[in-house]
Amino acid sequence: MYVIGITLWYNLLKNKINKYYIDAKIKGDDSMLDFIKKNNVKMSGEGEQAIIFAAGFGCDQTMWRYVAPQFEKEYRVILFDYVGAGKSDYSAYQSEKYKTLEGYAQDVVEMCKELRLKEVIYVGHSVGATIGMLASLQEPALFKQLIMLGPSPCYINDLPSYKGGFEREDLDGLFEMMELNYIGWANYLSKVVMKNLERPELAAELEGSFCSTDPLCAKEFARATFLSDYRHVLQQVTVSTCILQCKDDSIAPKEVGIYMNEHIKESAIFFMEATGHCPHVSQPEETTQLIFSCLANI
Amino acid sequence: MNEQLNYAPCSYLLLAENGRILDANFMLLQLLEFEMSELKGKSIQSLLTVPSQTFYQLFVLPIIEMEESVEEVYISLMSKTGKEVPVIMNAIKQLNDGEITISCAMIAIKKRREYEKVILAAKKEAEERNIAKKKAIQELNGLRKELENKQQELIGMNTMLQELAMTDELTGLHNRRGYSEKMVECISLFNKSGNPFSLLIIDIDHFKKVNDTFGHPIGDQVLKTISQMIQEKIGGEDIAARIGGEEFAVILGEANQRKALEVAEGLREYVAGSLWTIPTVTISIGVATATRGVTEQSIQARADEALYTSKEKGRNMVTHVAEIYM
Repeated sequence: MYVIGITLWYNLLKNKINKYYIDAKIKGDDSMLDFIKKNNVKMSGEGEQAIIFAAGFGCDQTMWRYVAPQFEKEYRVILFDYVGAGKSDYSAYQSEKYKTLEGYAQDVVEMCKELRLKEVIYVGHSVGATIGMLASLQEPALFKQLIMLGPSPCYINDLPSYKGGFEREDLDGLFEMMELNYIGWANYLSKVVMKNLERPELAAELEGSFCSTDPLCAKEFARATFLSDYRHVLQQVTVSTCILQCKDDSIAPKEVGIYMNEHIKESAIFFMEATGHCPHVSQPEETTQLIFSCLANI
Repeated sequence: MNEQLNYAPCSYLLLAENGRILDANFMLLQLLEFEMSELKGKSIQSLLTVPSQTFYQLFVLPIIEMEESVEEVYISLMSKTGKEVPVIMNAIKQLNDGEITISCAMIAIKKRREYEKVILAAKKEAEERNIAKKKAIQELNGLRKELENKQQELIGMNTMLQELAMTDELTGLHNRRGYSEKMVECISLFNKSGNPFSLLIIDIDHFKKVNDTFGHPIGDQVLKTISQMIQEKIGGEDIAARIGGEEFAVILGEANQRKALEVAEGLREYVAGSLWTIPTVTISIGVATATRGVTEQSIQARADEALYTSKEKGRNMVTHVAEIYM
């Protein structure tokens, strides 16, 4: 804890981040830094303007590793993990809060407030885009621009007026497939093993306490994501929005991107050459370039 | 493709970096009932069921991109005729003739899949049952609490009823029943400790005349006043009861003959000496003290006998039964 604290402090200093946090550290007030642990917040970069990169469903911040570093020269880059994903604090997971995406959005708002950020640029992939959009509805003043990579406000078809791309049974099939692939379990197992090495006496206890929460987070996040329907809030979005639409994305098809573009007032849509749902991984150069052009366009 | 790979006991698929199919072995084509010409250049997505397409995009592809390989992925292929073929897949990203390709090896797991389906269904059922059980336990706990509260209420009401059943309405003293119960307790205590207790039977003199002359409301008033006076003169552990129309009983918990006579005499004097708005009311008292082998009937009979003597001798008088036979 002490070592982590020192490193954190050093990083904060290095990155000229708010005096406030340095004060917090000097005062020894760890509670001020709780959210950093909770969401595994990582900060880097030389610039003043903050840019947040939010991962999509089932992913953590490492998904941005080809793209985010490109912004460090000009921006202050902020990465984080959702509670229940990546290296977040799993003990902070509450089913009641995170059973809808608003819970995750609330964390984003809190993170911005704790970091004393204003007019943030928020880049969100997939459900991360929806979470950012919901956060902007909670606190519009915190956001300057939303850049959405493969977003969808609703994954289920609502024919004939809306084609989200999925029937309910497709999603049930996906949930089942996640279960069959032990999504959540792998993470859980590695963590238990890791902790085991450090403090073997805690192994049994950990197994007891984490046993159900970890795969549960994945399961509940999947439901919160794929069963959500935020079409009705699109028109309330006031922040300037850029939609980056991939080719052949079966999770967020073209029609969905166009639908969002039509319903968000201040929005523009860019059609990418990249295929699939994760262009920031498969085509990082194009993705980076497009994000830069979105930033230039504002 | 070399013969050995073509007929290896697993399905093999070679993809370009963008997921387009470059090649497939005979075993895969046979498994999915396709011709090679039908697959070449198509996306791997076209070989997957809808949930698998999503799963592939969300989990498999990013892992291949980031980790260069993926292992033990469960995924479902779709045959040309629309049959679902579940497989376990390993994939690896590698350079092939200067081009980045993804090699996928797959093993069909039909039996295992059927088995897992059963296990999953059982797991789901167990989970649902667990939830139902938890809910049922919660409900039961709620009911138990409710029951306990009701029970507590009943106990409270019972105590109150018991009090009421043992109390004389007019005077607030014990009634005959309460007196009997207390008497049983006193006798049992006496049998254990050997410390004597005494019984006073008190009768208001000429009470019928009071009633006849001044009416029942005044008669009741007299009964209440006498009750108060009795209570003033006895100790906290002693018991006063109204056992008949104008007849009272006092059990003096720890009193021998001398002590009992003192209390009785004090009470008689107190009543006779008080200022009454109607012609002075007096009381006659008979006293008996417990001796070995005492019963409720025996001690009461002896006190009654003493009371009779007090009345005989002209009323407003205290007699201890022992004095009669001296």
